[in-house]
Amino acid sequence: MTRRRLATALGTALLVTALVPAQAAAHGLVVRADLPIPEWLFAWGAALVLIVSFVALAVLWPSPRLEPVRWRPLSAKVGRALTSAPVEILAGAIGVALLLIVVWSGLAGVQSPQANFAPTFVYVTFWLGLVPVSFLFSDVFRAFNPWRAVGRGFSWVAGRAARDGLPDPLPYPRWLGRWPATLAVVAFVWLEIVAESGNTPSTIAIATLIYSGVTFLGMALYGVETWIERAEGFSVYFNLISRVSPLERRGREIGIRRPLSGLAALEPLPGTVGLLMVMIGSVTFDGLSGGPTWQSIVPGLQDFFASLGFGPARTLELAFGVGLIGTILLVSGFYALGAAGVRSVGGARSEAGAARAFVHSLVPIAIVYAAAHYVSFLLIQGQAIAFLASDPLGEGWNLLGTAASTIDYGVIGTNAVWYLQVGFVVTGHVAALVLAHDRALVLYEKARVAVRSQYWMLAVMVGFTTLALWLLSQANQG
Amino acid sequence: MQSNRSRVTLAVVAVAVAVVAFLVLRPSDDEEPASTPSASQEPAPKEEPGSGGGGAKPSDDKGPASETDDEANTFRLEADGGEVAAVEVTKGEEVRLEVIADTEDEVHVHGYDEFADVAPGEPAEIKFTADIEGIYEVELEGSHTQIARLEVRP
Repeated sequence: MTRRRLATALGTALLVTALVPAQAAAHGLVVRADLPIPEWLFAWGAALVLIVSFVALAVLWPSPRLEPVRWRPLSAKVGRALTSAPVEILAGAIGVALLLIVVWSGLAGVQSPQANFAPTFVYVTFWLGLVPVSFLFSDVFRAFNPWRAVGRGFSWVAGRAARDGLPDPLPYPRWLGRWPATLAVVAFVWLEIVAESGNTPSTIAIATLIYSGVTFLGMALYGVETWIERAEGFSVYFNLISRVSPLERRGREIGIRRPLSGLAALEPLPGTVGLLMVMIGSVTFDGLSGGPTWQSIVPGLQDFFASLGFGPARTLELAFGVGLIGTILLVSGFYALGAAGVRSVGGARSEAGAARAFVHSLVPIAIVYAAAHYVSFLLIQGQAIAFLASDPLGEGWNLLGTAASTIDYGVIGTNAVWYLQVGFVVTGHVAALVLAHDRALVLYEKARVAVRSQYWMLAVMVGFTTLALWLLSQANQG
Repeated sequence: MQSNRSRVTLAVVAVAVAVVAFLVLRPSDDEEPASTPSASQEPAPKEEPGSGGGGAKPSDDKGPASETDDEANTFRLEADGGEVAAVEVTKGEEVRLEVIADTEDEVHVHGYDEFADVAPGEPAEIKFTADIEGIYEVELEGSHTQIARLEVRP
């Protein structure tokens, strides 16, 4: 790099810094980064995965256990109380209030990611915090979903006002499936990991407003529940995770089912495979981008974009964009390979059919990718919501009396993080094997063919799991 | 297919193998590669496009930005927007940072939230005990220039 270009780059960087206060990279919220897991733990984790896999092949059951889903209601009183109109209205109102606070603090508050309510609430409390909540207590977000609450409220009012009732919603095209949700998650992750201004409170507020507009339009055209169940990204994402939970709501009853069995009941609509690839690929890239492998690639990419005439502020963003999309495509290619293998075992199903038939077994893998990668971030940065809630705009308020609280960075030690990470990854691997095996028993009449098809899925899963461990051993290696 | 009993036996054997594998692969605590201050005498050139780090930009010039004093765990850092220095210590150690800058600003050690003023000709000095594990940024608070990367290992 010549001195002149260096000076230009520096100047532009300073200018950008001046224009966007507290500008940092996409993960400006991360104060404490994890140390990479050491080699011996990586080796141990990988060995454990292999042992578990071979044992699984030997001991797995010969007839399906998760399909069909068995569900039995819990106490009717509790179910009725939790699904009663006042509770639903209250939950919806809380959701709407939080959405409004995000927009308000994003637009009116200080534009520093650390001092404003919006970034930490959206990226940590909401996006990461709802993962364990959904995992344990099922589809909680559905109750608090602000867009659904507004949609239902609006159609209730409009239904009363209109004499002949509301016109029927348009039929939702089958081919559209979960693609709008997939697109929404890609956009969100782009904002989180790629966009330079993704942490800026005002960006988050504006993105929230745009997304709300799109969602209201979608609900108006295709009906509130249809749009929420298939097209609204966050609903679909948290619903996928909630399918691991042993709790399930049916009508006005809340009951229990076998853990994981909710995934077996997942209808593989178009776009479902795409969504899973985005979920796995985006966490993969987020991990990769902290490690040396990516950092050796990025200067080349930046030079390439610079030669196309992009400014220095854009080239990094574009390089990260290429990295994100490229990683999602690589992950998809790998899964497609496995699906082709499954198909080669026999049966008339197409490759896409095979990919869809086993896609639910990737959900536990996607969950543990996120869990392992973000557990310490959630536990540490998540504490910030206590003082941010008291002072959402960063103006020095103390609404709830918690403004003086601070983050305890020592809340979880490095060793504990490492063991949790490896534990998550191995557990997810086992859950995925169980689901895929059960599905194979349903698909193939002969148990022997079922097991043969599983060699391929097993290879895919060992691949994903080893990749997860490798990423954890790479991440943040300066 | 086997009976339930042989399945349980297999599972037990697998757990046993896993435990043995863990014990064999796990290094004992004393052979842990303890990172001494000398490890950062010649910090490897670091490029952190991921962290953006304000004024820090990928550059391939500049020499080592930090050097170790005679005194244990003292790091001299130059806040020039160039190389991001590596400060690697083990948990519990005393750390002393000396920061030289050519502007008036404030040095901030993230996570530990240690602050010190710095000005041309007046280096900042920060002393603390590295008692929280993890990787943290050391930066010039005003200009958001990353100076160093503090790595505290267990």
